[in-house]
Amino acid sequence: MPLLIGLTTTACFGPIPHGGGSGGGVTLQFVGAQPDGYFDKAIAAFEKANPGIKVKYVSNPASQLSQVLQARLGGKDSSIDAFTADEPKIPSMADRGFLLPLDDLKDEAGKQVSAEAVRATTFDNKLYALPLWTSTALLYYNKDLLKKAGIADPAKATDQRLSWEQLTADAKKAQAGGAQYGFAFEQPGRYYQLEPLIRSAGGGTGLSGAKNLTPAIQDRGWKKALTFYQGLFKKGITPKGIQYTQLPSLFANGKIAYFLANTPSIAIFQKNPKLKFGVAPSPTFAGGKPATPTDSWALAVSPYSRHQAEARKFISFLSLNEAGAALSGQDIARIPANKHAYAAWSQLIDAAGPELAGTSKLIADELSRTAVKRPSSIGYTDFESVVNKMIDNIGNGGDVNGSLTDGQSQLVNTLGRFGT
Amino acid sequence: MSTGDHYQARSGSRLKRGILLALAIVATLCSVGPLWFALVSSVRPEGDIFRYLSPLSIKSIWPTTWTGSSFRTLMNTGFGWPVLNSVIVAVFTIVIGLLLCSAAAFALGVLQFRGQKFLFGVTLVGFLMPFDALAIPLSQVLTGAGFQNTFDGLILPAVGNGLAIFALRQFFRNIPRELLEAAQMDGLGWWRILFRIYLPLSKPALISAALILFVFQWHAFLWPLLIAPDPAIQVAPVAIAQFSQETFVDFGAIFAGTVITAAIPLGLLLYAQKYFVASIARSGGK
Amino acid sequence: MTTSIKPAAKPSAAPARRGRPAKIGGTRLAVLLMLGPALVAILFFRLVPAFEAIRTSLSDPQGPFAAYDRVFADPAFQASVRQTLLFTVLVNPFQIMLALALAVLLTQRLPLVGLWRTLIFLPAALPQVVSAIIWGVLFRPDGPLNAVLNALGLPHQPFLTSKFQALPGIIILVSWVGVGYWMMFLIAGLKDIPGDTLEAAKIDGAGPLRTFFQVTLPQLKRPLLFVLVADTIANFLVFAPVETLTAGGPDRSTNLIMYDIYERAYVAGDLPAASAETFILLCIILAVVSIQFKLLPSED
Repeated sequence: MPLLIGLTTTACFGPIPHGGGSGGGVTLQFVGAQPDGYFDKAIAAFEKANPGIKVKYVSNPASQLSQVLQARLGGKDSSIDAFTADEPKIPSMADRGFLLPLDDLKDEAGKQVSAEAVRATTFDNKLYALPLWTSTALLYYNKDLLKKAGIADPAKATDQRLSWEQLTADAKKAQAGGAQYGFAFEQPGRYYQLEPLIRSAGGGTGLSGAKNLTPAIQDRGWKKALTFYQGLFKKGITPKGIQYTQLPSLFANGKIAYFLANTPSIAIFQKNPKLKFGVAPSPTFAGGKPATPTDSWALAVSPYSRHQAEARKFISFLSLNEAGAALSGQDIARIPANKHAYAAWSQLIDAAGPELAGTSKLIADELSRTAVKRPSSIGYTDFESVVNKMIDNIGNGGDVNGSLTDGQSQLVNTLGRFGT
Repeated sequence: MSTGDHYQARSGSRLKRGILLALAIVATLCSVGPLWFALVSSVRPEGDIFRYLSPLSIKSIWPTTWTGSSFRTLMNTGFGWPVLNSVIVAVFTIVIGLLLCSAAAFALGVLQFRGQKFLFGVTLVGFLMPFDALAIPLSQVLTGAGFQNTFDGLILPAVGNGLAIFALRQFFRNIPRELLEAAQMDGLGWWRILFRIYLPLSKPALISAALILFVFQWHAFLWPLLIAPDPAIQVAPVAIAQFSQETFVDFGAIFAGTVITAAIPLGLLLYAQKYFVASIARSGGK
Repeated sequence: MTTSIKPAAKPSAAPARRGRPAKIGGTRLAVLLMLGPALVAILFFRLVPAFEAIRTSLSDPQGPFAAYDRVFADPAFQASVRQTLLFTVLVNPFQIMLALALAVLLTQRLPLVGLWRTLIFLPAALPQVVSAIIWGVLFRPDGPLNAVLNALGLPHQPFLTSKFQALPGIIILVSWVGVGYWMMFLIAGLKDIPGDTLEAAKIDGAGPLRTFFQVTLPQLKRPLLFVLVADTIANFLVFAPVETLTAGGPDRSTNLIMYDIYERAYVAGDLPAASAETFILLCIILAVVSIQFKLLPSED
């Protein structure tokens, strides 16, 4: 026992992230998937502008956030006031009654954030959340590995993007030239990462019908994209069986020649000063329409909150207020949905490193022209869960047609509970 | 009346003892190996953690560069508090749990009354319920009752542990009835019998029960996540999971947290080991 | 021991305690005070949520048994029943035999035996997420386990990416965590065996193996049964490694029931079906444990 006390006293009594007492004012509980302290600056600015309202941020590990929200909001827990909502899950959350409609903020939202972002948080014509960020995928490449294999750097212009076929050939060449892996996805086994391939191969989103509750994953586009996906693993171009969180470091350590990833990974790459990387647009299938993934996190208010007015003020500050939006992003990792913040962010990312010059133009092009959204459906969470597992299976070598048939019947069963 | 340490190898021939020792060491290495990996990873720079996985070399199991940055990250995020919370929760769970479970085990195993077997069955069934599956309805019930973010919410659901009651009951039933009858003839009441006679004889079972309760709490993740998400009352596993963010996983910090959360039970166990052996030798009851 | 116990528990618990003649003065009171808190704990922390869960399972908008229909018709559930039963049949004997072997080994007179025991137990004290992460790294196709195999001249294994090796991989993971824990109980059981019995066997000229099977093992029946039941139950509840590492795959090979329930409840938000599946799991556990009690005769 004395040993224990000794141990803990010497161990690190760092700052307790306590939200201070409220004293007569209101203290909001804001739950999100970002690390502790991420929103400190934005919260401080908000509290300054709104004396009487304090905000306590509670971080939940990203993988657990939806479970925690399900448990607490499903239990009508009144202690959560505001929280981050994953945009594609918004229809499903609205259906479960977890989101307070924010229609009176629609006009303001239309003015302050991009139109695509507003679409991402609207369901059934109601606005259910205020967008924080959006996303897109970029093709990062290791300059040294390409040089060793004698491959020219891919162009940055979106009209000169590589085809998947060309990329495969180049990746193999890079491996012949010494790279351990030719290519990797940042999020293998995820619908988010595969949807653009499926769409550019001519496939549909996977859900059809008026309410997007009818599964349709066996069209030619799905087959082509998933067969191609499986091929990358089979040919040893893409590493198998590595947890996706460990992949960015693999690229940062110079083991992968081409890496399809979002913007937050840049921070990891820059940690290795020896890595020389470049940025190019996402590939597309030859003859297909280019597609990139998009959408990210938004802010919502709980209908069980006892401080809804204050909570709405808070999320409006972070999303619609120019100063607030700038503070809630902070770094080049997150692409702000707010128009003003986005302009500032563009300059930030272009200046963030020699290899990143001109990236903001690339991203702007992708966001406006090639971004494909995930299907808006109250069954999206179920859909994504089944499809992710199926994609993973296929990546591990399962028969493509068999897996698609199996996935289809699984989806029919799972989505059946929504009626049609 | 027998004492512990009687189940042993007879005439240990040197060779035989040597082989057995070697086996013990191999088994220990298998157990400790992965933990060693965590330990090594906690003191090397992030990039190195995955760089030397394969092919195997001395670098896989010994850091080339040392850094305290992962532990510093823990310090900066105030990891001491979650550890302290975990310890508090564990200690209270053990103390309250031992009281509650030994009393229940005594009633279910030594006292005689109609319906005893039935109630024992009920107790077992009650605690057989998969806790994690019941976490949603339970968290709703408890949140409604105001237990959110309280130590009570973390401790109370764990103090009644069917396994612990089962283990204690079995042990109690092995204590010779003569002792009980003698005590009754001396006019001792049930509580005195429990505290003065049974419990002192039950140190091994109490330690087993304490272990069961401790592991349950030290291990727990989903329940604390649901009922005590507030950073002030978070427990260590939840705090460790914080390092696994959507876009970046700080493996160094996770492994550093692992080292700390493993060091505490390690210390406790080494301390308890001597007690375990000594108490059996002294207990003399069969 | 079937479902009829649960609804009956609440009403009849009270009369059973109060309605009988005291053998010793104060027994009734003693039972009340000693057993009461535990029963209250069960009631409040297990039975009430269980009833809630059953109630939820019957309150699907599409009808009282719609949730059960949905679950039974779901290919994922069917796979999870198969895989969970397979898992149970494999992991329990494996863990218990290993725990027993280790217990026997570590009750020999060896130097530093306390240290070995502690280190082998230690994995059980780790948070589940952490063990999963560590083994996730070990099982990486480019990771240390494959490196060891390569060094020994054996081929590269897919481990968790293969639908044949994934479940054994999980078995190894949970065994690494659990074996030390169960070993401790068996060590206690071994130490309880009276020295005279063993001496007698030795005098009779029995060799170590015969002694073990004919003298030691029968004396270990109670702790073994205890460990078997407890381990079986614990293994039915495995899900953290699945959630962290395999998401039930590849090809549903690791889609254990607890994980399936977890997904249904927390990801799909389909509470009626999740509750229905919980109830089904509970019935399975009760059935298996009852069989174990019948097959391994012991008091109560």
